[in-house]
Amino acid sequence: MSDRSGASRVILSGLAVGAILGAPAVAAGSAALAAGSSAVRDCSSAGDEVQSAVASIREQFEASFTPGAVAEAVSPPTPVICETS
Amino acid sequence: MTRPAPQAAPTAAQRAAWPVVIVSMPFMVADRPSIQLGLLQAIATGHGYAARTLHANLDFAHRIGGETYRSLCEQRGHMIGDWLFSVAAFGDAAPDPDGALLDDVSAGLDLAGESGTVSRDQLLRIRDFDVPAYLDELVDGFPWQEVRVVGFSCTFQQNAASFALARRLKGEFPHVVTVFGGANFDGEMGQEYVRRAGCIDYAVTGEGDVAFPELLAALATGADPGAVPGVVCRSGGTVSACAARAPYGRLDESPSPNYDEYFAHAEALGIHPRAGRRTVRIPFESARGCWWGAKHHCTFCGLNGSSMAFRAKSPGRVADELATQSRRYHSFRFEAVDNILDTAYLSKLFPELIAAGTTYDIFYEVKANLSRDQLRLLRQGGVTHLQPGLESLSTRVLELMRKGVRAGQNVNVLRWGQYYGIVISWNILWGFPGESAEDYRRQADVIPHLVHLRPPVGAGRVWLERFSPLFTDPDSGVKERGPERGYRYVYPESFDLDKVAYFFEYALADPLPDEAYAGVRTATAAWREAWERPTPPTLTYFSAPGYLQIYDGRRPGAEGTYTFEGELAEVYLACVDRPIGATAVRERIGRRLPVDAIEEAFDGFAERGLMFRDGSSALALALPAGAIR
Repeated sequence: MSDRSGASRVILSGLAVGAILGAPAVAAGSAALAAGSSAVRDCSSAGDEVQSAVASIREQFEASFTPGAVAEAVSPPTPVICETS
Repeated sequence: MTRPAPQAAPTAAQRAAWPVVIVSMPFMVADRPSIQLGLLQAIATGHGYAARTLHANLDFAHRIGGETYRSLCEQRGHMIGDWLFSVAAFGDAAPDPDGALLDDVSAGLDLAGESGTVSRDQLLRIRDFDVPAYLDELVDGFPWQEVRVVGFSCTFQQNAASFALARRLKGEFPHVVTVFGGANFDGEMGQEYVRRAGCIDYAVTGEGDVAFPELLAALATGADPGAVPGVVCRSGGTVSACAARAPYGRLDESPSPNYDEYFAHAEALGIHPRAGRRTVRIPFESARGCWWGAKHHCTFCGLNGSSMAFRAKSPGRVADELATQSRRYHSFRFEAVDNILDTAYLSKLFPELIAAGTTYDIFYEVKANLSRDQLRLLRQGGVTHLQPGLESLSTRVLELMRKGVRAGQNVNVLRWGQYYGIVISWNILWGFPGESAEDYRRQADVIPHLVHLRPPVGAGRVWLERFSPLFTDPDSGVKERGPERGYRYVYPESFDLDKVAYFFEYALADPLPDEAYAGVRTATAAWREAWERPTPPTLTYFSAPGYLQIYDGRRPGAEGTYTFEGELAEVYLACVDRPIGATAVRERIGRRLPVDAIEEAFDGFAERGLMFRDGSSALALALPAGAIR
């Protein structure tokens, strides 16, 4: 069933995306404290990555379908010719 | 009341003076033997009685024709089979000599069953001519004077025919003692039948494994049969009921059912061929009760009235019985009468059957939470047909039913059952308290994506059965109920139908309009039609590492191939074995995609009908191409 009622379509903040990408939230927060504004730039970059991945997926879906029936998957046996000379 | 069972064991001479015949009347199906008869015969014989069975249902099937008989067997909710024997059973007290049932459209008769159509005139002819002639032949053609006890096994539509024969026997062979039992006599139903039907001497309410031989012993020794636990009888002007024992637990000690008379009888009538390998499904019992129902009783289930506790034969005992019965009856096809498969058999019985190299063809009822590996094991072990009780494609409705499975698991059983060549029989049910129109709109929307899987046998309103939580729980959401309409055309006015009915009509406190189900009804009909096409619908995938093609042949004229590469292919393949969430998929593919991107992929696949979404989980719908593995 295409149950989409529970699926969040909200674009996540950079920090939350960092957590989703695998970096524990505490570590992401520590990194932000230590590196100042550079950490913010990193998270924005991760957010871009998510959006890029999502966009790439949408693109693949758009081009994924080729209409037309597929022939029966029957392969004729291929003879192996042995040279006797 | 509970009274001590008779203690004195009968002597051999006393037992010899009480020969027994156990009878199965219409409308027990004719294409396989009755396990109730086979088991009770073996039990009585084991206790030293001369006991035999009489599948008298076969003679009636032979008389009116196999297809007509089968069609009537399918009508069990509407009492048409009982109605056919009502006049013979109750004489002038029968409530419907004029055949008003056949004109009562609200009785909901559907005489155009899967096995053919039975016309109104044909039904009247059967009732007025075939039934009396059949009973005459039955009374004249069996040596009733040689038996003392006639037992009747009654489930579903067997009551009126059994009462009709018992009435004749009591009139013409007064020495005969009649004993009734079976699911129709469970609880207060049995007491009311004994109270109202003069042809019943004793009834066994509940399981007969112990009560039936104890009743025979009481008869043989002259003890009080009414003192046997589980036995109901008339005493003076009242009905006496001795409380039944706990459900029988020593199933390994049960004898194998004796079906000798069934096969001889069916072959003599030409119902089964005399020569060659038999294809009859031999009924066997490996377990009783329901381990799921004992914990979470499904709200609509009225099976196992007083015997819900789960009990199972040991795997070795089951394997031995299959081997014994196969040799004895020359068939390799079996039908388990269990309500639910014992999960212990997955690790013991089926590996044993595989190791032994058996080639059985087995039917089982199961819970729908089986994995791909378990379905493969079952198939290798000989299971070709399952009834998993799917009931719905909505997790929310399944929760209302207390089924203990999700819709994604149901779809997965359909998928892997099909892949491994196991027929899955199932239905879609509706009419549950708390359901919403949205629950059915979503099911109607998803059904076109599932047409490559086996369609449901039927889709319709759930029946209200005695013993089900919908019946017993005052807070179940059922506002009012009454015995199913057909009962009033079968039983005389003196019968309290509230006490004898097993099926009930009902109204919910907050019902949905019938239109709410129209989408599911229409989509299901189209699904079944699709399976009747010369080329059935398919949805098959072909894969190589990082590369996936899905051939969609579900809709004629709209066939095509989906091609996915890289991570998108991996996401799909991660959802092939079972429903799985985005976080788990992410782990499976080496964390190379964020969860949001995987959710996006789930939605993209679902929009194209290539995945089934069940809450946060997703399940690939296509089945793998190539060799079965």
